[in-house]
Amino acid sequence: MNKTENDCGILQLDEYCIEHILEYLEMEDHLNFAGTCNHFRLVFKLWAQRFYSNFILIGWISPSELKLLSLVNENVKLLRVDVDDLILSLNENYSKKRSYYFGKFRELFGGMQQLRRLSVWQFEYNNWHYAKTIIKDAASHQLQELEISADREQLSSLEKLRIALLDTTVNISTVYLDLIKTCTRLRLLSIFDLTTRESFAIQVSRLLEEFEDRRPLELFIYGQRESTITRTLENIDSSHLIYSSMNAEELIQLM
Amino acid sequence: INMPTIKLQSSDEEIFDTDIQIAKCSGTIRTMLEDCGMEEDENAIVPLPNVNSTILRKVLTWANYHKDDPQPTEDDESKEKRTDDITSWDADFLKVDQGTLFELILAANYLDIKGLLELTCKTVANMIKGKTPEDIRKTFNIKKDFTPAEEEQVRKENEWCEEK
Repeated sequence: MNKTENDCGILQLDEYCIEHILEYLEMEDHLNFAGTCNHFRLVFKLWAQRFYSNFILIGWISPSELKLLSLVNENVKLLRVDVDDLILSLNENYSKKRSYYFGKFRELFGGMQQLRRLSVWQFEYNNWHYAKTIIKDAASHQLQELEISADREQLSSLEKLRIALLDTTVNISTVYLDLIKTCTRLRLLSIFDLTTRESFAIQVSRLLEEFEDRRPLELFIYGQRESTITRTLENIDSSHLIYSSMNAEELIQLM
Repeated sequence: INMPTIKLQSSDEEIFDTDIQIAKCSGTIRTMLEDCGMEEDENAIVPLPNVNSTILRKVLTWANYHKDDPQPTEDDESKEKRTDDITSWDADFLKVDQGTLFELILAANYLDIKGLLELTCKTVANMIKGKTPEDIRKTFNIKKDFTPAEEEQVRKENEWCEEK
């Protein structure tokens, strides 16, 4: 095909037409297209707000996928990441510079201002601290949904667990009890949950009677509605459970 | 039987006597005819100020060849977007200079002719596929005009692909 005989060039196409062309291209071509000039980069970014708002990092993750993420990270609303796959791919792609590139990934993650839903999957024991880092970093996002899929085995290695639950309608104390059962090394559990009652501490204490090897457990409960009547409940054996609680008002006074 | 015709007027004021059936492959013309009741009036002129006569002639040639094609359905929209299914007639039809190709895209978009828009966009996509940014710039005669800040951003993005 000859170069233009008349004046109409590709830059005369409006965004709608260019977006139509983008629909027929694949990831690598999207990247090359966005790398040509200012206008194409802007049109691509605008289009990517819709096309790449869900980003899934599962399976073999190529350098191009990560490059693409660096172009569209500001618009990602849902991120699903298999940390084991991510670390394996970083290892394969960047071997010794893996840590540097994990740092770069964290930077991209930090820049996801639109992120509302995050799923973190992780099952390899050695990668747990990477998953923890990502989950910690997620605290700076305004997430509406956080899903963590990890092996129970790994949870069992947790020594300290802090949970903040802002939902005031569901009481999930059975889930906490289950966690205490699963996390065999747990020595500190701190819960911010408006629905937890004093009776929960008694349930925990009873549970610990069965598990001699994991005593004592320090339990903090923040944010109960009623003022705390008893600091040390009679039914609680302090060699099992070191228990403190604080209501919202007391919490504020502390600040 | 004589097919009813309609007069289409290009931006350079050339009149094209066109079968209504062919003209109606354009969503824009179809709407104009139906909304303005122009179908009954054989002498009515449909002005197309955004399309010149060279391009309109090409568009009508394409529409004439494809007049019996089935209308694209909703299902086709969600289908995987292939670019290797261009027929040899269409490929020959698009052996034109780039300027004409882009004008055809703009015309297909303005006239709302789905099939032609798809065909022309696919053709441009094929010209981009597998090319480096530099090759794309050469192909379309584009200048690299990133600001220093964008250059730095692009460098950071490229870093992901530089190892090995």
